Amino acid sequence: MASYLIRRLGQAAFVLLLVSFLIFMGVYAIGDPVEMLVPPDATTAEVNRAREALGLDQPILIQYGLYLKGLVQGDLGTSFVYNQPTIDLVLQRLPATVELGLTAFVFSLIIGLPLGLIAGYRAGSVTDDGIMNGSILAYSLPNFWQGLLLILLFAVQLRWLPSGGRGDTGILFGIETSLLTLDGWQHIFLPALNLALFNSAMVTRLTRAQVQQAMGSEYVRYARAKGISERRILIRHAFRNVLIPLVTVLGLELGNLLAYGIITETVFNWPGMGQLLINSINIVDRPVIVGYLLIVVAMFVVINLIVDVLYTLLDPRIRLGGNKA
Amino acid sequence: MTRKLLLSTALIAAGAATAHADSLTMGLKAEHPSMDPHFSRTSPGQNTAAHIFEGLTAIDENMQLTPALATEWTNIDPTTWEIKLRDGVTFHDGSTLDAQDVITTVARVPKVENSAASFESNVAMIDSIEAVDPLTLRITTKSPSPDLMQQLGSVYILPSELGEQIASKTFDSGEAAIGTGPYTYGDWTPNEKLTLSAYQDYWGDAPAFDDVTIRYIPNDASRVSALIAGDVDLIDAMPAGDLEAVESRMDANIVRKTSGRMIYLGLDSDRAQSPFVKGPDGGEIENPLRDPRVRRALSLMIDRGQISERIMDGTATPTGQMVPEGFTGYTSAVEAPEADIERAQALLEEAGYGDGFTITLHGPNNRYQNDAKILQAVSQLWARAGLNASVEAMPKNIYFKRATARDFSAFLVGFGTTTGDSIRGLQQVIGTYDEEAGTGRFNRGRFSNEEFDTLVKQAAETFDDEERQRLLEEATAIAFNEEQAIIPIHLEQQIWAMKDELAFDARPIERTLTQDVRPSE
Repeated sequence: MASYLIRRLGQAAFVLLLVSFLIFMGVYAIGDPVEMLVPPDATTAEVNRAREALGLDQPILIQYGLYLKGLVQGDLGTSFVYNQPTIDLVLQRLPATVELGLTAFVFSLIIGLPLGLIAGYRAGSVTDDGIMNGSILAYSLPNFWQGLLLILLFAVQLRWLPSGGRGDTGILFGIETSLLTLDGWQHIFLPALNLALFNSAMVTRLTRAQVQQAMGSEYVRYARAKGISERRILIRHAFRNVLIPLVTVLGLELGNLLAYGIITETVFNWPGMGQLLINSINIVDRPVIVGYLLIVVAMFVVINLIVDVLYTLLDPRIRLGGNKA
Repeated sequence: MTRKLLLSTALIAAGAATAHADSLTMGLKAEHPSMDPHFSRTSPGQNTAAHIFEGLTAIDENMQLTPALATEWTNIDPTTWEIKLRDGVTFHDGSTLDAQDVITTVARVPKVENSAASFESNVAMIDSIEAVDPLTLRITTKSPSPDLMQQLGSVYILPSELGEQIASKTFDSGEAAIGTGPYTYGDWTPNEKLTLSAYQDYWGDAPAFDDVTIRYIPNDASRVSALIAGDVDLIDAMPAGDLEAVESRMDANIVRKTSGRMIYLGLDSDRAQSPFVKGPDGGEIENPLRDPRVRRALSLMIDRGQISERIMDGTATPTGQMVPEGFTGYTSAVEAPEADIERAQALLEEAGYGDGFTITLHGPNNRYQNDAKILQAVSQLWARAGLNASVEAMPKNIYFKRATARDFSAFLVGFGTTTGDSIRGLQQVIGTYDEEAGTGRFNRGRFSNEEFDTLVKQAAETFDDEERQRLLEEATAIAFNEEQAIIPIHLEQQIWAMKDELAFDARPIERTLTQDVRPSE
């Protein structure tokens, strides 16, 4: 287990290095941050001063070298725009994004799992058809469009819920979260639903396929022959096996919800990391773009690791490191 | 009779009282990068700063300089100034404004770290600054600087207690956000909102709203729906295309104001061969854009009225020069050209390009209002007049780097005049590119005319307002009537949408200030 973890960490470090190089060079190739940052009427002298102040007058490889040097010391760089450390900017917005991502994740499970179980168990029935068609709708309508429709219906027409922004927050274990207040829930409900819809459709379809497969398998037929109730077969036997492939996909999906809820955050003006990334790309705020993506890559590495460990718990036959027991 | 009078007085008093105690929520497109008023001279930075802080001078609705923290100023000789400060002004911490505050502020400005848009150039001309008495300053400048009060006047004054070394981040928490302005700092949640409260001891007119929340909503559709849903009372940067939707769904007050942002086409008028100009059949030709007749012809092919009406939904003012009417340097001698294809073709013929040529127009697709559509329209209008024209639009963060590297032949850009004076635009957009002299920074086409440069330079050193205006008008006539150095298209209008119960006195610069909002009568 220990050697396995060390190997995984080594791989992760290599991936991070590669990603930092690619993004650093990519952003450099795209645009000139100084062009975006100086006031529209700046003189040449002012522009040169800004370039020097931000260290952009150095050759690109030296700039990258300096960045790496900082990185090794745990410094993700300072934002060109906000003049604040990248890590502070990301951490400031992290609670909002995590709270939205997790709520959406729970929503997608609450919606997707039961629907998938029913559809899979009653495959071919009218209920199944209804659920499948609904999921196609949730799948294929663009995310931002769903968001705008939700706002139009619930905020503009019915006026039940606010049109965007984050509500009042409370403190839980030192972290600010809007899940503790009614106002907070009113604000998070629509964006979380918006973010969850696509995923819930996917969870539904995946669960349905797995349930269908499991219900036709030998151990289920054997259980039936033993006279175990259908309900118990579905919940105790089939569902457990359904979960294994589901956990892999859900782990990655959780990562996606956290890292790339950008569209939902933009439409609902949710003050999370996604908005930070979009704004930073628009003004070529290189330290924030590179820093943000490094954090996201690190997050995916960790989630993947957790998923692998979860496997062994769900299916004792699987061993880490590839040695079958 | 008396009772009736009493009653109505009471009602008015009650009405005034409730209006005064009201709160206001605004939804703005762009957020300031820092609460430090000296960190960024860009519009979002100054919009926030102007609520809490004030400078020595202010700019009124007609872009004219008016007294603020300074009450009067005299120019003793070309390089010596005496400035009187307003008596009895207090900062939000209770301290009184005096000459030392201004001196410390001037010393602090160049010390702001990592700022890409600092106010350094606003104080760079100052050689020495000293207090004659607590309310009188004497300033000597390095060279004659007629625009000292515009430049120094727009620097936000901090209390001297904060010192010269105070760091930008101390402002973000509100600790150092101490000014003399009509509002005091409440709380700032980055990316989300800023709250402000009216300063009770403000020296000027008390603002109409006591409690103000500014929410930052960069997405256009979200900002508009927040207004319709009643979550905010007023929004800026109202998209013209959504005006009908807003007016059909709510009783809205729409305020428009022609801004100082001029959208124009820059032309490569320098190189012998230009990368995106080819012969009618695609072969290499000598760069026709060097000929003023060709530049004039390209301008005459453009139907500005149609672009403003069809593409901009009537929210743009066609123009033929740098600044809108009312700004210093505007001249009635330069009109927005009417489309005239016959004359354009005659000019091309005369210049030896009767068969036209092939040209690609470049521009951003996410910087200015409807920028990509304007590009399309211009290239179609050029094609209609016989050119083989095509267009390429790209995101701004890619576009500007390439435009500055002179990758293009014809390109769409905007220039925003924020001072109410055409001189900076003339110097930077049309003046000869000269890094040492600090002119021509946006002269990406490298246009150059000696007579023009001399006139602008003279204007920059002239103290007499009338003479200065005359020089600027003359330079403008050369640049646009004789040379067609660039092709102005229109001035953008800024649009605000708000609830019917509100009125807003818009300024031509990009500011949405709470002190300009009041209940409508």
